[in-house]
Amino acid sequence: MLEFSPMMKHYLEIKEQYKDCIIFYRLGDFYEMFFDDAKTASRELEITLTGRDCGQEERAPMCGVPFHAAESYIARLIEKGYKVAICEQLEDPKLAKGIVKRDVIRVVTPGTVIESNMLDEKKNNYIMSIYKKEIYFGLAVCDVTTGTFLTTKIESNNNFALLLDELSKYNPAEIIVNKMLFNCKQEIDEIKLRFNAYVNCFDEEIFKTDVTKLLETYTFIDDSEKEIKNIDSNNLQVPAINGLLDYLNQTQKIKLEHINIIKMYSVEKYMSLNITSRRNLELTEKMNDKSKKGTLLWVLDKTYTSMGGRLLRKWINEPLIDVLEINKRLNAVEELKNNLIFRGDIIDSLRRIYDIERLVRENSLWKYKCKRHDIIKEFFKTATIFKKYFSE
Amino acid sequence: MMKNNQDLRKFLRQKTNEIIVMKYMFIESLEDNFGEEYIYRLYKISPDTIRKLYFSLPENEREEMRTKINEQIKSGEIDLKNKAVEWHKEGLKSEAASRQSRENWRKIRGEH
Repeated sequence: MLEFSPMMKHYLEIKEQYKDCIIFYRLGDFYEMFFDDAKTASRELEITLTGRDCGQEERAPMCGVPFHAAESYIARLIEKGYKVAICEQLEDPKLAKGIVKRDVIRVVTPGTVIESNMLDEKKNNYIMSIYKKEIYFGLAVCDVTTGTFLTTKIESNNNFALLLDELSKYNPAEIIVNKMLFNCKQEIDEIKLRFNAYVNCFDEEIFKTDVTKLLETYTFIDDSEKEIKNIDSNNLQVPAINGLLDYLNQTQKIKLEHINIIKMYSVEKYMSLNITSRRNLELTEKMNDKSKKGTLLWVLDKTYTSMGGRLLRKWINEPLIDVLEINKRLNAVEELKNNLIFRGDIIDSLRRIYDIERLVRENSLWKYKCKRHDIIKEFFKTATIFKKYFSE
Repeated sequence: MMKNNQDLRKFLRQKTNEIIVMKYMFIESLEDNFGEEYIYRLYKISPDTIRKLYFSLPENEREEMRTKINEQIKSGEIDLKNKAVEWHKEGLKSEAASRQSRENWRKIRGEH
């Protein structure tokens, strides 16, 4: 039997490691896909399927996209529910001796997308990890673009219904679950049916119970933003957090420095709205076409910044039940409503602010090294003005 | 402000011709290193079509535009490679928009 060419051998090695992904394999000016990946991509992206000599009698099916336009093609694949592994050239092909060194630099999945053109600016893109132990659940939710990391546990009766409520609150783009939950066919089918999310199953090994490393690396806070110093390793949230962090490290291949605070919240702090009520009330999306127009959020959303838009969505999804908190929020609204000049000044300042939450993440990855520093400077300038206003 | 439709038509024709000349100059700069198929795959620009369009323009107009574009390149105002990438991305955007509108029509008609 004929042998595969060295490049194709390397490709197959990479493919072996990322079986569930479409590999975007960088060859010069293109990202190429081979074999079944090529057939899938050419069908989904409507691009020409060709072939390439691979050392075998038959040519390997191949299709490709130019590197400068890859983002839009990746976005389309993610939208259709695929995962994409980007295999990049790690050295200059002109200087390389023999085969160019290549490796996967990032895995793009529905829940780990960071490209702004693939995201709704006024909506968080959540990835959720669910750890099931006996009949209870530990949950961890993260938005990689903003660094938001939340965790909770469901230990009461009627726990699966409560899990569905939490899921509908965040509407995650991707869910990772442990084997125990994945094997509960009825529950997993219900999740898949109700939510348009990509579900991954992982071995129990990644859902570690080790809490020491977590406490060393991250700051844990509670509902009232107070730091938590001790966490019980039997806590259901710990495996869910470890599982999610492990998955993020596997896919991002880089230390996510902007994720440094983990908020442990209690499900009882907010009004529990079941999935059907949420849908019927049309809080953030319409029942028939899932669009925003005509919903409560659409009526109330007069926000000028993406961050404000996301915060308002969160507030609508998590109605408060604590009277003190409600009054605090109402007082703030009243103050802004009554003070026309002050409100005008704030609006004027907010118009100049970019999406700092997402920019901080980009900066932590050094993606826009120098370009965005002026924007961050502008933000701090506005923040100082705000501070002055509020102190007055 | 355009005085009338004729002015607008003239302006649009001039802009289109300018893009044709720019695309021709771009493929001219690439042809030594890349084949036609490669250029099409990379930038979605068909060298054959561009050549035909370029030579259908009046010679004096072509020369005039070439000089103008060369000056802009020298002054760093435009970079033909960046322009080609921009055209490609714009093309993809309009493709996506038409795909979306097809999808919407399908939904309106109740097709699956």
